[in-house]
Amino acid sequence: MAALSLRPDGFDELGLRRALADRALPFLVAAMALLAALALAGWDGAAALAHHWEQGAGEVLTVQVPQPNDPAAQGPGTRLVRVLALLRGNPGVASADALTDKQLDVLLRPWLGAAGNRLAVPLPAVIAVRLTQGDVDTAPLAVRLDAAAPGTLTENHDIWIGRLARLSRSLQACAGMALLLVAAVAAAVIAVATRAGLAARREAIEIVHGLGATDSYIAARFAGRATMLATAGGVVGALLALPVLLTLALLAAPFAGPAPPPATPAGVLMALPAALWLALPGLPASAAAIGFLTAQGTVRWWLRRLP
Amino acid sequence: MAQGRGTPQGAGRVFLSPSPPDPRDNVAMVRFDRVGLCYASGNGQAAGPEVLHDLSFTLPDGAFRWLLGPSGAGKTSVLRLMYLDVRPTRGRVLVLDTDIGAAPRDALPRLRRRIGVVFQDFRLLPHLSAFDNVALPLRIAGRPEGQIRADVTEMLRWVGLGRKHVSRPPELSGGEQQRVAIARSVIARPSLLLADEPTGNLDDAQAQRLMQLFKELNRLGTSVVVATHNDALVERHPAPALRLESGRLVRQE
Repeated sequence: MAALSLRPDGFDELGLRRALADRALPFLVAAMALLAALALAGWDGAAALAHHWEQGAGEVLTVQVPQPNDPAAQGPGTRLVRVLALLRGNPGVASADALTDKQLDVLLRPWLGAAGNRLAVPLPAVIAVRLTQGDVDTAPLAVRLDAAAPGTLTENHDIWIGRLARLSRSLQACAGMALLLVAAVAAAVIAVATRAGLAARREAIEIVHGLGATDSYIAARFAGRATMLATAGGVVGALLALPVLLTLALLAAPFAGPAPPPATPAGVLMALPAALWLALPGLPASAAAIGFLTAQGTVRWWLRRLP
Repeated sequence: MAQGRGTPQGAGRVFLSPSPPDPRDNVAMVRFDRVGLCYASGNGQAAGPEVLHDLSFTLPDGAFRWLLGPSGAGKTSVLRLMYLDVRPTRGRVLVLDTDIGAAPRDALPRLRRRIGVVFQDFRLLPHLSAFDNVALPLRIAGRPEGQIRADVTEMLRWVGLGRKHVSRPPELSGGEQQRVAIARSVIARPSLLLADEPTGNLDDAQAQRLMQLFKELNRLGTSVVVATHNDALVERHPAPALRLESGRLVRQE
């Protein structure tokens, strides 16, 4: 290894500066890095959604009480009061709150419009129930509620949450597959470029080989050049991906949390998840690793034809 | 050759002074034992016809040999076996005490560094300067750059190209390219020097200077094999010869 370090900087005995062009390969790797960044963003977004649904929405129950102000069939008070009392007294229920008229109006506005509260439609009371854990068996509770206030509808979100979580996990897997595919295509592009370089510089390689160069020596020349070009492409791709990811993050911000980030430069930058901030610098590093390993493997395999 | 260009003789002698005795010096430099060679056919799979048949000879350490024969006799194939460019199809080839047919592939580069080769077509790297072409074997061997600079500068001066060290091969004449190729072949002080039709691109005066150089290197301990079909050159510089015809050794002196 000490021998390699003694070579003068820029000594290009194989003429690789012309054989491994400095335009096409970085451009293609940059495109791959941009696609990888988008796939990473998709993977991260799908993972966040799945986590959010599984952890948050999975513990929520919705109870609809028709004619809430009528007397309850069992016990004192109105149907709504009785159902609320039963819910709050049930183990596993963290909270049970009836939506106010205003909250109900907001909830129904997409379907009934602004005139929803003036329509003469009898609306049920809606109770948002938060459970202490997601796996509470709600069937017996629904039976008791229905007995106290016939017609009460208990809607467990588990089924939908499960479906949505499976969907987001599938999206996450697709993003992961896309990432692997992009890496494979990048490796293929580098392998093709390396093979073209080998074909173009075959005579020089044979001369250097004949002078006693080892496979490691020759492969290191190609790997050094390929790594440099792939790194440059990775840096360009990551820089191009940054504004795209920031835009997507800003668009997705309302779905991710209760409050959108402030419209300041720092707030815009904060919109991007920390995982993606860590992944972006990883793109040039990954491109460099793919370039190095692919060139090393391709050259060493090719050199086996020489004695 | 260098002396003919007016290069100080002493400098060359100092530069080419023999290395300390090597314990392997007592063994044969090259030994062929019933060697046969086939090249792969066009598709790289099946072996083609045999181009060398049952070659057996020994080249003692420090010897000078002509390798003679008409075109197509197999001279280049014999040299290729000696500089480890091909392995024998059958038989045994020992070069510098190593059986090149049985040696692992990763053992050959170190062996190649002890063999200098002068090709008829020079095989210089056209994008490198004369200095970098000559320095290449030393850089491959991992020598310190300071030593390389001193050795290559001295060597280029010795072959009369001290002022053309930055010139690239396309900017040099045929004779100058030949001298760069020779400088590259001997810069690492090889134990074995092989030349394939080295005078093919040279005029008579240049060819004479080249032969003087080979003889000087041989006198200093390097084993030399020169393949040629230039009979006049051989008559002018009599030495033992191996004569090939149709891939067979027909005379050995």
